[in-house]
Amino acid sequence: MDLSKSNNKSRYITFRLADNLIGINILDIREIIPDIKITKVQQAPEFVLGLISLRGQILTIIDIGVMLGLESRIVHSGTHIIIFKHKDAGFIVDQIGDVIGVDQKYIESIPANINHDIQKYMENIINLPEEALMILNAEKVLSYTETHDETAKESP
Amino acid sequence: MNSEDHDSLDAMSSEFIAEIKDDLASLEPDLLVMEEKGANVDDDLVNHAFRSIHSIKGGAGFINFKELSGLSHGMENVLMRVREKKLVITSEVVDALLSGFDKMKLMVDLMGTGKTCDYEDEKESLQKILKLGIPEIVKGEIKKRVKEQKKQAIETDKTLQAVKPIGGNAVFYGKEFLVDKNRLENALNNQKFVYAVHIRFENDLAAKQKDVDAIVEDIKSIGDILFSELEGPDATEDKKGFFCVIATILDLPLLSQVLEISKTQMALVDRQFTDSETILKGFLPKPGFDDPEPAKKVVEKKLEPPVPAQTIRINVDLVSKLMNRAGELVLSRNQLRPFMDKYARGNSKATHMMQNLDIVTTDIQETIMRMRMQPIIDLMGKYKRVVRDIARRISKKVDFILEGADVEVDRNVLEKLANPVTHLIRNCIDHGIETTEERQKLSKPETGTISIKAFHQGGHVHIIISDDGAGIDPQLVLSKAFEKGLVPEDQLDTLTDRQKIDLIFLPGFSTSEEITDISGRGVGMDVVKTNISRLRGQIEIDSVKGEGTKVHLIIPLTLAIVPSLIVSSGDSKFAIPQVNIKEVIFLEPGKIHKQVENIAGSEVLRLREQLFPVLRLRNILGIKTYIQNFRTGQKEEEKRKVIADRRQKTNACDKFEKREPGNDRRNALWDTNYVIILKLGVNFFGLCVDELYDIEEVVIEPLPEYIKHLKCFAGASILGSGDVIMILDIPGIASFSRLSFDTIKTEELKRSRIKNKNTEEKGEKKNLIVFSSGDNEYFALELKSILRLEPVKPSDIHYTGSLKYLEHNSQAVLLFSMDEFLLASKYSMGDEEFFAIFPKHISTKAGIIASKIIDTIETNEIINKDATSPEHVLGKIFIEDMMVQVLDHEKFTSLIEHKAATAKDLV
Repeated sequence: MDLSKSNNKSRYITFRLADNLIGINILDIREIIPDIKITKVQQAPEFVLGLISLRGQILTIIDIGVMLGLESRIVHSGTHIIIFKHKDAGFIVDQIGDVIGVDQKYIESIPANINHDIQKYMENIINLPEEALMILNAEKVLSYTETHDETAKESP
Repeated sequence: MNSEDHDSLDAMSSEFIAEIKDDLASLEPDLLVMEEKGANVDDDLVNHAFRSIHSIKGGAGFINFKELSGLSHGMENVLMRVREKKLVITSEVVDALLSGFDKMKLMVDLMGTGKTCDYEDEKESLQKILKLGIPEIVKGEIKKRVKEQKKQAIETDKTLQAVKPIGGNAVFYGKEFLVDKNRLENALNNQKFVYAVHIRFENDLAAKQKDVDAIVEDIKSIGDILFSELEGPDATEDKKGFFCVIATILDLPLLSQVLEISKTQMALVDRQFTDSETILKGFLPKPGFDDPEPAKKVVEKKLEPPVPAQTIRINVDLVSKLMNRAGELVLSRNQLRPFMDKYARGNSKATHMMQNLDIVTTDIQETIMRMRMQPIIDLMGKYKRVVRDIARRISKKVDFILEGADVEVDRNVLEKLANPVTHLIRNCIDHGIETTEERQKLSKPETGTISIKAFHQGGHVHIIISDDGAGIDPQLVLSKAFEKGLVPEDQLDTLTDRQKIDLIFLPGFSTSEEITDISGRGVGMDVVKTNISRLRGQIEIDSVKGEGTKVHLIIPLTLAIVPSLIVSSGDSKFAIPQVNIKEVIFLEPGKIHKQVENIAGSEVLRLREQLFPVLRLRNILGIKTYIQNFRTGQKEEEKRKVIADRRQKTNACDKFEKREPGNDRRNALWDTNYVIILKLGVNFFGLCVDELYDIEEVVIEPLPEYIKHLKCFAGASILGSGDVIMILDIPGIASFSRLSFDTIKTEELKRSRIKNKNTEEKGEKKNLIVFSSGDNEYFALELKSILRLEPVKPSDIHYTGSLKYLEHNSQAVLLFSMDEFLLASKYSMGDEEFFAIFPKHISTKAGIIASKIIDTIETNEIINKDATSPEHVLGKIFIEDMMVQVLDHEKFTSLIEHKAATAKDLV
């Protein structure tokens, strides 16, 4: 057993999308940057906000809110971009929160009544004293592909 | 057999293999030039080739690659004969050498795969050449000598080793000396140099008051004498000098000083020749080289030892990475500059530092870019061989000329050029150049010429491949294309010669049968074209029947960096690769109508008597645009954009696609300033954009995964400012907009067709705006009769009894719903936003309520009035599943006027 497991604590970055408190494992994240200019890509699927350049690398910025069936994000002063570690992509969040370490024993599975659209992308839920924290599954988010009819969008 | 020896390649071996490959690469051109010069071949060349083959042999020996070393040995023997002038270079000799060369290349390629190949055929043909090259007398001489020496050779085989001078002056040519193996080994193991020295009795000894003993003493004081002609059986008094082989730790200049003998009379030796025949050579008299030449000639003939190439091998990935980083450096510098300007303005120290940073950064970037560049000869040099081989095979005489060999191109581009260029050259020889007899008949020079000319122009590499062969007969191409069903009959007469020739680019044009018939080009030219377009290049053919063909390739310098024009549409900027741009037209605000015409529902640009289809970037990409408000003169968001969005959701778009933006009221307010004429093969089309910016060199990055499917973009790039910009894909835009060019459809053709179509049309063309009232009743008004459209919130409506008023410019405007005029279901106002339509030419301030604006459409359908239509309805048309009542503008406005008048009465 290695140390991290015996420690039994995972660390999560928390953020808010609309009113939802969501976390993502810190190991899935490369960095967090303040909102910078996003170049819109016309004809792109709705969840793709556009592209940014981060130190010479082009990253795709997605709106997880759209995937989860929330309204699309409006960029404001609190907006941050979280960059994934294993993919040249990132997503914007309405507000960035703390990094919290959570003992494995507090982690629970997702309640059955949560909207299926949201459930799809969540790993589990952490019952924090004040508020429940949904943990995003980075892999599932990244494998998201637009299921809407793209051909309709492409026609002139 | 010994495959396991070289199937796992360690680092050392791979280093050797790389060297072997380099040597091979330099060998081929030498062989080809040797053939060209034939008997007059100069020694330098043969020596160079010999050296290459020799070091291949050495390398192969080192990594224990027996096949390769065996074959190279055979080739070396042949070259040796040539060097000794015992063999005259003929095409047969070069054939044998080239086939050996090919096999060697194959062997090297197979290395590491564990496979080996035998080289019996090559060995045999090399041996045949060897026999053929030696005149009978010499052969007899050799036999005799071999016999004579055999005994001695067998005796000495174990203890003697042949050594051979490398370089040095002419006296060393073909010389070899036998030295004691152990002593040689010993000397080499002690890091000593082994030199062959030629000492002239007169100049080196007598002139300096020395005798032979004195010089021997001198030598012995600094090293060992391994061999001296004075001691050997051939020692002769009548010679002007003698040879000796010495081992010393001194380097060449020092040795020359110590012994007071010119450097040119010394040469390092090499020990490779151990078979009895080569041992023998050391003793064979060399005709013409017996006497040391006078000093003057020695200088002239002096062979410089080959300068080691000033290159190192670097992994391409590493260079790419470095290049990316350099780009980053430039960006960081760009970001630093405004900062410095702001905070350190006037500080001369800071300015100076900034300048330094500027220079260094730019320099680094340019240097790294150049690292990726390779001279075009690296590829084109190969074709000398290709041309030679094909021409020989089909017994034609062809010369190959390469111009601009040092033009440099990105290595990726060069690699991708190989295939199409080979194809084109093959075509030149196979179909372009006529047979010798034919050429004689035509009183052309017997030998055909194929030339490749490469040069830089406008950020591109131009490569022109031309031949002086038969050329392409446009008529034949046309009839073949017609037979294949590639050209419709009605176009047969309208094509220009150039267009006819361009038919060979059509896929499906090429089958072997056709080529021989045409005796022109046409083998897989569509593939060539595809390959060139993949490089974002262009290909053009120019051919005069009977005189030759010219293929012009225009290739970007690098794949990664593309000079692009930055344009904008709405708020978004885009990059258009310069290679696609033919010209840019500025539309003068007042004269737009003269320049842009609306033909059969499509916008076309009239330019120098040609018509170009015109697309609008903002429509293609659905960019929000703004129009000027008629009254206020302010910019407002284009409302119809909203409609387009809705249309996407309702997915009722097919019929509406006919709608083209130029036909409506916006035509008067064309807010697009520039039309960029884009090249797509031989076709052109215009793209309207709002603004032009600089031309920037952008580095193309592929589209990220999520948006890979988008047709209109070729990639993304980061601008100097650090912003991301999308790069437009011109072919993608054309196909996305369903521009159906085929290679033969020209603007002229289109124009005539459009004209025909116009006369065919019976019905009058109308642009209608379709709107709904209530849930599913649809009406249409002609666009030209509408003054404006306005979205209205129900809360903005003021009521007076049943009358609805809207405030507009502090005036009350009456609104009516359709059911107040026509037999229609009653419109009930909800909380949803609706539209007010204000017709033109109306005396009262009144408008009609539309719950939704569906779209504008263009139709030339004849609208038939039927019996059920009320007086003010022109008729009904069907659009998709909607029945639309088209209103008669005049009658309808008078109805509104009447209604408004009676409404006043009511109040």
